[in-house]
Amino acid sequence: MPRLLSRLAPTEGMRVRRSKPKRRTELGLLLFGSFIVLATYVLASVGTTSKIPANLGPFLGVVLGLGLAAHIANRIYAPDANAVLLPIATLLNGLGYVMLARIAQHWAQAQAGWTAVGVGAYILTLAFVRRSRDLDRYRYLLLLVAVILMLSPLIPHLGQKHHGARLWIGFGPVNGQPIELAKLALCIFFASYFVEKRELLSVPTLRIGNRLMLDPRPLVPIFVAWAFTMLVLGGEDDIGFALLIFVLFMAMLWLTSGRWNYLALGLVLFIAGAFAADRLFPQVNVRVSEWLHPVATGQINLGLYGMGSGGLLGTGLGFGRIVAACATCSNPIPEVQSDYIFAAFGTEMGLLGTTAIVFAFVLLVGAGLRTAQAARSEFAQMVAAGLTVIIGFQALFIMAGIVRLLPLTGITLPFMAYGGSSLVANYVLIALLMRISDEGERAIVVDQATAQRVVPPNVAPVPVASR
Amino acid sequence: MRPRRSVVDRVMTVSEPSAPRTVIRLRVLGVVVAALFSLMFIRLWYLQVLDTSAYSKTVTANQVRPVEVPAPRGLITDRNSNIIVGDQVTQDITLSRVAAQEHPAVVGQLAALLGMSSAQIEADLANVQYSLYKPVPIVENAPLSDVLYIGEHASMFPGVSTVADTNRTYPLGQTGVQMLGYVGQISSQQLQAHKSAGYQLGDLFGQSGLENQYQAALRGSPGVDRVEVDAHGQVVGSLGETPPTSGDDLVTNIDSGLEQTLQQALDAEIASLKGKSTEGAAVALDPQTGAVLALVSSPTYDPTWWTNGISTVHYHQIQATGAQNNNAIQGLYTPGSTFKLATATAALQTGLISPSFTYNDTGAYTVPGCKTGGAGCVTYHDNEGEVGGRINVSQALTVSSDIFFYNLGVSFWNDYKANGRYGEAPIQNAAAQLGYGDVTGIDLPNETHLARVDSPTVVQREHTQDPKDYPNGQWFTGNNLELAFGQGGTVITPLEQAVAYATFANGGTRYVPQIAAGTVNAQGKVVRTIVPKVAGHVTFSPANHQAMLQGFEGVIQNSKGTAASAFAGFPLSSFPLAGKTGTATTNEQQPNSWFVGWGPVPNPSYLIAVVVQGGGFGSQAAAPVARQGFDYLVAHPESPTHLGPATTPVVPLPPPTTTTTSPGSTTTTTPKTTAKPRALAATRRRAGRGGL
Repeated sequence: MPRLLSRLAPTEGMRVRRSKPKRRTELGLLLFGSFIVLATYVLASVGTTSKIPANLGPFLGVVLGLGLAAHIANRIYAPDANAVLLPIATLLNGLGYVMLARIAQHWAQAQAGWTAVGVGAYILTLAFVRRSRDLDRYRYLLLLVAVILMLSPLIPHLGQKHHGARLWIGFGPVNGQPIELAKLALCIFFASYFVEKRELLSVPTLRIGNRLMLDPRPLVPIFVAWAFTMLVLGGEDDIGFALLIFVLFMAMLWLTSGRWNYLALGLVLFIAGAFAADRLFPQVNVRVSEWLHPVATGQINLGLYGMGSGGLLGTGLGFGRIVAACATCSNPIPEVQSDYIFAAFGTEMGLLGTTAIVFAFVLLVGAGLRTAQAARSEFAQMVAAGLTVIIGFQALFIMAGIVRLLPLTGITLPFMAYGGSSLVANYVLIALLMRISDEGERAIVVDQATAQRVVPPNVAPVPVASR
Repeated sequence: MRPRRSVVDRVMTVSEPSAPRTVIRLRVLGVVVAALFSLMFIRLWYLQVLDTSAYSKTVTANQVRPVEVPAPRGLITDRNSNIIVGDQVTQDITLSRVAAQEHPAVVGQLAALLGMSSAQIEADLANVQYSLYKPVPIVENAPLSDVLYIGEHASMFPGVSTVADTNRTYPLGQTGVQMLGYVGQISSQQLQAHKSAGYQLGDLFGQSGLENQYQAALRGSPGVDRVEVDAHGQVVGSLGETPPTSGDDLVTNIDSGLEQTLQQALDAEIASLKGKSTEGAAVALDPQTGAVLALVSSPTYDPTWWTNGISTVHYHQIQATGAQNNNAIQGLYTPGSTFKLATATAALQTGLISPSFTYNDTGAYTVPGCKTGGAGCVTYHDNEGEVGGRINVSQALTVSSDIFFYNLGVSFWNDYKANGRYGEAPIQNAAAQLGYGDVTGIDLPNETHLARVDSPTVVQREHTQDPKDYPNGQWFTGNNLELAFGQGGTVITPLEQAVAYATFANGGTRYVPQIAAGTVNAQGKVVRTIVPKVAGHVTFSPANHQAMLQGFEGVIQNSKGTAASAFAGFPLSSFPLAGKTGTATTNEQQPNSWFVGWGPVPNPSYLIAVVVQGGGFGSQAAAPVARQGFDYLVAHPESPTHLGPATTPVVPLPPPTTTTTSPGSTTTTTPKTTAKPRALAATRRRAGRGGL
């Protein structure tokens, strides 16, 4: 308890006027990222139409404007938060936009609108979620929200089915995948519940014979929640998110309890679930057989051809032959703008481009895990870890599916693929990480400040527990 | 409860859930994720650096565009190597959609050059039926001047290219179109039926006639031109071409001169009947081999209508006139007196009569033993010819005495009824041996199966199957009487008629009629030789055969013969002919006019069968058509079919009004030799194909 108090005191008890080195770094990275996006935009335009794009000025204005808006929000609401989360997100977002503009203008236009909405959601999240522990309070409300969001595609008239998965809802011209937002709510719920039941989950309390066993009772509601999630996703014929939620659940259970036997149990559950899904849900069966035996000119093989043709340096932006329709091109890869945008990068930017994207996600995961480590409460720690798992594994699953390491799952590559709900949800995810990071880093900053006795005169020094 | 709580307390004090442990777990998670991403990177390295050559093979296929080079379709030639269905290379002008978008001016320039409006070209570009990834065809069969202009001013026309295409040409015009058939885009059913043959949607496929029958040989195999293109679709170069293999040429036994002569004569005859007749057919065979020398059907139409898709107007016109029907193999006609061949064969074979048997033709016939005025007791009168008096079978055939054959029909039936002799259907048996009422097996698709020879079993079967349309299932004496002179329910095709008489004419061997003689590849090598096929035999004793032949000769050579007048002036001494007329009464007002003639007897090389629906007496309409054919053959005796590469397109005959014996397709380099009388028996088959 003293430890926690010591951390709370500096932020809530005083207003400290400090320089913000993190934000300066962030601004520099944002400008650098914008330059990269601008350069690729020009290259893609030259590659497709042999012309420098006419709207270069407005484009740069929007890219910088959105980045700066988020940056200013950071300065106001999360001044000590991690410096690389936002620049990486905007860089990935910008590169994704450039590729969409190269494939077809109408997707790029819609994506630009959604980017603005996403940045807005980012700012609003930072503005409204001022303390991560607020989220802890609304645990069951968030679970309810997640349930409603997950069930909504099954509602007649509202739900829509695309490519075999009933994952979309449509409302007038706007449609989206509510699961993208539900994954955040589920993550927060899992974190809150696991942290509260941590002791019961990790310490054997049940005596059977002369052995102590873990009390299974706290697991019951969580397994109910998990089974429900799986059932809903099964009913919506989507294996990508079912797998993602499963991995999230197992990772958080293990992180809180530290029990390897949970992972073993999870593996057994996964294998049993996979067998059952293979029988029950035709989409699973189809995905697995397509993975093992790709159709000669099917999506998987086209993606591999594209990436193979890219080689080390790529064909150059605008020069890929299976990325978009043109007079002499082969048929483009199906869904190249959403599920398969990574293959488009592989084709036109080669190994260098794909490696850059992979590293960007590795950095994002690294920043997320660092945020978790530095988090000032166990709840915040679990939320940050869960969010990091979501973004890392979501990127991994789709990229591994495209390069045929895993069966293809129809989930989006965060920030890059076309899709409004995905973009908005991922910006909210980054905002939550920023919030947790800000809390944690500020504590450290204040700790350091205290250690150096640079203490505002009107506040008494507070003993600080080592972290 | 108590022990448990104590356990909790104990455990809590021993190991408090500690933050450092969570941090370690977070690090483990970080390592796991880093390992997974490293695996991802290794896979990418493998895919995009190490394995790239394996994929680049597939990828070069994407950058090198295979362009299908259509194979020239094999030609169809006549027996003298003259082309009767040819190929013509045409140039199509195409425009790339991307180029039209980038250089909008090209549309206007192309429109100005081709004399079209820009809107027309825009409409073509917007037509989604054309593949999105291929240039859009703007003009088919473009004039050479336009093609050359575009080639010389390529910079003015970005995205415009010319593509070679081939069209079928028909030097014979409207002659024999049903036999030759036409080609069109392959239908989905045909695609399904020939799955393994590598056809693609849009490929040409023979839709009828010889084009359909010999599709596999005529087709050839398309080549592939591997064109290298840059990112903007400009052709950089060609990486080599697999040349297409031309289809094999089909060499037929058809004499295009005779074919045209008969078509013109038949069309003119039908036209001269001014609406009384709407259709007819003529078949010329080599009786010694079954080779088809000519096969024509009327009415006819212009086969080029099918090129590039037939228009609705033309399609309805063909439908309305029935011009797509090949009446020689699909038309069904009552045979009339021509059927007396079968009756005479049956009577002589079975011994019902001998060649010397005579009967008094009084001009009227009443079924013996029937009560005068009773039901079915009708006095029959002669249909054509004169009152013959006391005549034998030869004379009966010459004057086509119906009375004589009424008597044979009635005698057969009465003998069967009274004594069970000769069986129930002796005439039908003879007819079946001659091939009446059965498919001939000619090498053409869609030969009708509906030909029938009337018989007690047929009548009963039809009555059982469909009592409404066939109310009478019984066979009466009168039925046998009608059967005997080719009336009643018997209907046959002109080709069956030709085959039956050819069987008699050669002494009793029934051949399968064959249009094709073989196929020759583009190098001039014979790929396939089609040999005569025997379908059956009919046994004639020499005396019986002689008696009947004498009667058939008389039809033309005797002044009393039914066709004597039609052949007045014909050089019968050097080219003796035999024949038989038929005047088949039908429900229509005018009887169908039949004529079958062959010569030179006794070892004939030619046989011509003609039917003119509604033509009246056999000697009036059909015999003159056949005569024109024989006139042509006297002037142009056939040489054996020459199996070799095509030479020149056939030269169409001038219209028939000038002269019917004008020299026709004499462009051939093969010298015409006089037809040699061919010996009967086994050597005959080879002799008929001496050139092979």
